[in-house]
Amino acid sequence: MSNAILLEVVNNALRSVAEQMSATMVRSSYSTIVKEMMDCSSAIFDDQGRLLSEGANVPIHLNCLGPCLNTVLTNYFSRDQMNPGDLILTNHPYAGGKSLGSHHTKDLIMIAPVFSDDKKLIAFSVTMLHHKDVGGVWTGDSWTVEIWQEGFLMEPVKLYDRGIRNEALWNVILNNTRNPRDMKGDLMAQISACNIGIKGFREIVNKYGIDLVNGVVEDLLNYSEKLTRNEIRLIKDGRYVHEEKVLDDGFAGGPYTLKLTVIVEGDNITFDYTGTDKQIRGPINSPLSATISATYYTMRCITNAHIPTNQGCHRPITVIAPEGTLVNCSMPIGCFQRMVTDHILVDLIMGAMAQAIPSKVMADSCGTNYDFCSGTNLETHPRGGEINHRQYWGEIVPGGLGARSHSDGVTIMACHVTNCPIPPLEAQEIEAPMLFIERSILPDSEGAGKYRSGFAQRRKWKLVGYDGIFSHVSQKSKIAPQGLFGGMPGETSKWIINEGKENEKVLDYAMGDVIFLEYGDTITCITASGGGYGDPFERDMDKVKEDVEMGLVSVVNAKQKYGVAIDPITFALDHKESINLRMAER
Amino acid sequence: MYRIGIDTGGTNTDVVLTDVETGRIFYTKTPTTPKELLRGINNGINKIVGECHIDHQDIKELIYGTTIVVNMIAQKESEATALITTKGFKDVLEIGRAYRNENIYDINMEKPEPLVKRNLRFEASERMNFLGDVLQPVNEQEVLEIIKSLKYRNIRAVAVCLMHSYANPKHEIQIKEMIEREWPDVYVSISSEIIPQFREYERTSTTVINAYMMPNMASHILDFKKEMEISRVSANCYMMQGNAGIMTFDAALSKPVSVSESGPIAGIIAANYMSRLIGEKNIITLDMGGTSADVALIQNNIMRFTTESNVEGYPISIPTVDLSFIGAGGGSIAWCDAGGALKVGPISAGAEPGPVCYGKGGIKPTVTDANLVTGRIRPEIFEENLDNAMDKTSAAIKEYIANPLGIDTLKAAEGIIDVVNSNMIRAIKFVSVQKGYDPRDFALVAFGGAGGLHAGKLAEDLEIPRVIIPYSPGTFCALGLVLSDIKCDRVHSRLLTREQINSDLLNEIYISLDKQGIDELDKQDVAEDNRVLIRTCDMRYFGQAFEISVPMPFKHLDNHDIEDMIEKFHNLHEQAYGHCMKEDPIEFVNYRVSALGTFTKPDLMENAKRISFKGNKERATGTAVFGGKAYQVSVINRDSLNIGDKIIGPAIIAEMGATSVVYPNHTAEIDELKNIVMYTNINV
Repeated sequence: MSNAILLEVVNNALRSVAEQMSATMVRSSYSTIVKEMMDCSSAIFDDQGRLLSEGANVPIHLNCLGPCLNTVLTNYFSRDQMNPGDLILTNHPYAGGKSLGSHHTKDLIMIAPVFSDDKKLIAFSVTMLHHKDVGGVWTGDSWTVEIWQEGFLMEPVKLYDRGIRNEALWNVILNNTRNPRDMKGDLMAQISACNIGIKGFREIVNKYGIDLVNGVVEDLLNYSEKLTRNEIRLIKDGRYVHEEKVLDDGFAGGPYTLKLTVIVEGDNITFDYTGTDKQIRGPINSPLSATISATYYTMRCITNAHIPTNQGCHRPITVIAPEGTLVNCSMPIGCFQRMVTDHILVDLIMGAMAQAIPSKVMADSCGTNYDFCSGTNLETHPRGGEINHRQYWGEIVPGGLGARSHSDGVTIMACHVTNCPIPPLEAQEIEAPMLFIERSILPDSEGAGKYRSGFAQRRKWKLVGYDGIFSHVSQKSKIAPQGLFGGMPGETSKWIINEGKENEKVLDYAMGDVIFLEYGDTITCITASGGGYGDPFERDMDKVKEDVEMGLVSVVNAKQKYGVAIDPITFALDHKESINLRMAER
Repeated sequence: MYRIGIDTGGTNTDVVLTDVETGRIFYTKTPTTPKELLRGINNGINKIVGECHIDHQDIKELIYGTTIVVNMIAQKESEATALITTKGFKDVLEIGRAYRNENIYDINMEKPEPLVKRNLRFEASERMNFLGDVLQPVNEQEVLEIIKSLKYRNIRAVAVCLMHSYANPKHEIQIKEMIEREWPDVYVSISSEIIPQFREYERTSTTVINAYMMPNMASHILDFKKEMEISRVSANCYMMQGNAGIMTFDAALSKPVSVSESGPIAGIIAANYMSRLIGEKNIITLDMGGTSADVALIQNNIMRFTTESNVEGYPISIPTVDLSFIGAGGGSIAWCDAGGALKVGPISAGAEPGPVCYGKGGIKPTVTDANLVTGRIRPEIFEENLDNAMDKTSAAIKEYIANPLGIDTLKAAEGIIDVVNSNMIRAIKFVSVQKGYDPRDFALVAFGGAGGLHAGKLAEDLEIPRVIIPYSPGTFCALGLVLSDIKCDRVHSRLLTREQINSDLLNEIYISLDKQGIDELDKQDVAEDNRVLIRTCDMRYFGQAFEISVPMPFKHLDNHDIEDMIEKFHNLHEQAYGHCMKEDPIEFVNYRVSALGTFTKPDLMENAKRISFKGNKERATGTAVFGGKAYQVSVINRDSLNIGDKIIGPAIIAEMGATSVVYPNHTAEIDELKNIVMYTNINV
């Protein structure tokens, strides 16, 4: 077979293995965030630690396994210290001294070396799974400052040594979680997935021979590199600067600045985050590995989404992130909510690149949004038999996405670096003492534009249990998602406890510490939407009319935001009046 | 007694007629007439009736396989449908599961546009909890207002899907009765009748598709019946479903969603039936046509089902045969990307303009063209005169593939085949390895126009020992229609742990489901002797979100049976995922009964024995290229092969509408059903 052909054939085989690894974890796991939201990933690396293929759903996890594997090989176990049957486990964000380990303590990374029939180390089969609880202050997402508050820490250690499980370690792990049964089940799922990777890669090698596979791997990496460089060459050389804010509502001393300079030179691209604020006393700091993941992700979005993902895609990219900043935090600062920062990194890159490749970027999106709660009700939810009878629920709440250069943004959709499906409402009510009151599209929440953003979500539920412990995380509650090229900003996010009741309370900040809830308390979450793209007065009038007919845009806003006159009863479009509106001074 | 199967595909309408008593089987094909499907169907019936010298009235059973549902949804060809949901949730249909499941980097992705637009979605004040307790009764006044406003909007159908209606359908039934009372002309579909199972988005989507299709299905069936009356066909009419069974036209009127995924099913039924006859218990089916390929896995002659399929991106949670689909077929176009990789598909040359070698104006090289250039498809089998076909095709491969990659044309042609094969291997692994099955334990049954061209090589790569190519693989799907049974599925959804369940409760659930199944068989006039009930239960470890289907005995259940099921569940979990957790609590989730009404089948063995082929025995020879090496191959007319004949590869076997390749080092034999059985001769 010629290489062009073998390339595609081996690439297909490698993809198949990684997909199977991830599917096994999703379908057999216990943790809600994995089973319903697919928060896990898997990858195959060659013996040099170069990424060959990945199976993942959540972009922030892509590429996070590579830096961690490299950290393990450099600082903990060299290749000759690994044996068939070993399984290395870690969750330490600062393993090896830099923030190039796991992204946060709940992500347990498991590494299995793959050996050939003649006992040569030929690859690594690696999985990551978001576990439900690893100890720490609370199960949910509370305000933490130091890494020890975020759960137990485990530098890379052999859970299995030559096929024998380290029982003492196993017990220590299970002793340090509030949900030992779930953790055990999820670790089993991870082990199975690693074994599938070992078996799958060995089959490929046995079929084609290790030399041929190595040759193809080199070609595969070069191939992805070449495609990526082709894309970079299409971007005009130059320096593109942009800034975004986190903790825009002033929480914990915010807002803080994230700054980026993108330097495009020929077929190389540098993302320099110099100028970004120092790390803060809080959990939103991004480990370097997460910053790299978010950068690689966005790079793919704005170039070519169909390049096979491997190390080759990364070769033309340099990331500069000064240590001790929000984008490269240092021990022992908390980093549990690094997603708050990582989401903004996507908007940051898009914003910078809008100057260079306006047709390939999108306006700001809703960013991160999630809640997590636990409660008890032995009458309705006696099942489960966890130690404290608590039931847990939560969701990564999708909002509106930014508008694109040729189309409207998507309404209520998993945002950029998180890509978790929402769990069924009915499944959540079956599992936990809570009752949904609403999940709907929020009208008039879009960032107007020639192309408008997607609409935000309104989601409301009630605690029908006791001892509620609730935590919430969102962003963009003061500075709305920004539009591009004349597009308007979108809706800001908001949390309300007991909306419409006497004791209604709008939460002061988009995130914070846990809140204790009583039976019957309701939580309303309004997500952010996205920014528009282009001047709203250039929007196709029929599209405005359609949004009005669908109850998404009010007649008043059609007029004010878009300069389109629509009859409130018949929804007829008044062309003449609309043209007048659009011609008038604004 | 004659039974006729009619399979309407995109290009051809395949017709199979069988004399059930003697087992004789006749095949024919006519062009599909997309604008007026019924004309093509009638042509097909007239043609086969003429060829077999029987009377239209001799046809007593007619089974119809159609892709009409998929087509109409793809083209949004239905009249307005409305949806009524619980207050607070009318947008669930549009929000969906809200994640990017195709390409996570593609910022230009779109959600499928909901089949019911937002201004036709209405909310009713009412609420059940997950136990089926009424938290808030239906506000009838509000519902009356909704019905009133719907009347002004040219609505033809209404879907109703309320929260937790699987646990208690009372409110849905109440609203349905109100609609029927206030507005008898409109079609109504409620979710508790279609799929009483939790997960509201998937249930709503399934119910909406059903309601959406009801008016069209009704008019289609009416037209069909009229047309049959004119042709004096007075047969009982049935339609193929996605669950590998058929149902009467009357049943299809109220549950058209069952028909939606039925396209590739009949071929799988035929493959399974045939495999059982020749003692192949474990098979993987490969149906490869012009634009796509479907793969399914069958163990112990039992098909696998899924409740997670979709039609055109809209989820459907009724049970359908678990298959994997790829956009790779004979017409798939090969191309080189900017990085210098060779890609095949997903764009297809289709029937028009078709591959280059068809000479109908196609210029881009396809998989079929690659098969021609490598000598696997013989130019002499084309009906048209294709003198220049070979030259033109080689030139296209040279221009579009060989030159850009800097390799010679033959290598490029073989490369196209290798790449499309690697895509199909991924599809086969998806149904096998990924579900815990080792393909080496299976035989590959290949059909469709292109199945036999690729199957031998795929089997070799996957170390599958045997490949079976049925006679007339191009019309194999239509054969499946006349081999089908009536089937209806019933489900009950209730989450119970081991502590909460007992044999009395389980018996109560299954007896009620059995009764629903039997009632449905009654409606479809199935005789008592022909009824079979199959029970399964979806189980998982407490805390998981995905279930495994465990077979249940059809008997009065006792505690021993429950323990037995739990043991089976552990084993199936281990098989699927590589581990089980025997000390963990188990949860029973969905309880299912499939009610079958069996038909007498034609005797395929008798039929094969009876026909002794007298085709031209003379074997031509030609050159074909495999693995970069040119071989002398014999070119065999399939109609010259009889039971027991042996073939040593490489060889090409050609027949009407299909070609099969016996690869170098492979051997083949004609079995008692006149199948070609290829042996890959792999030493494992």
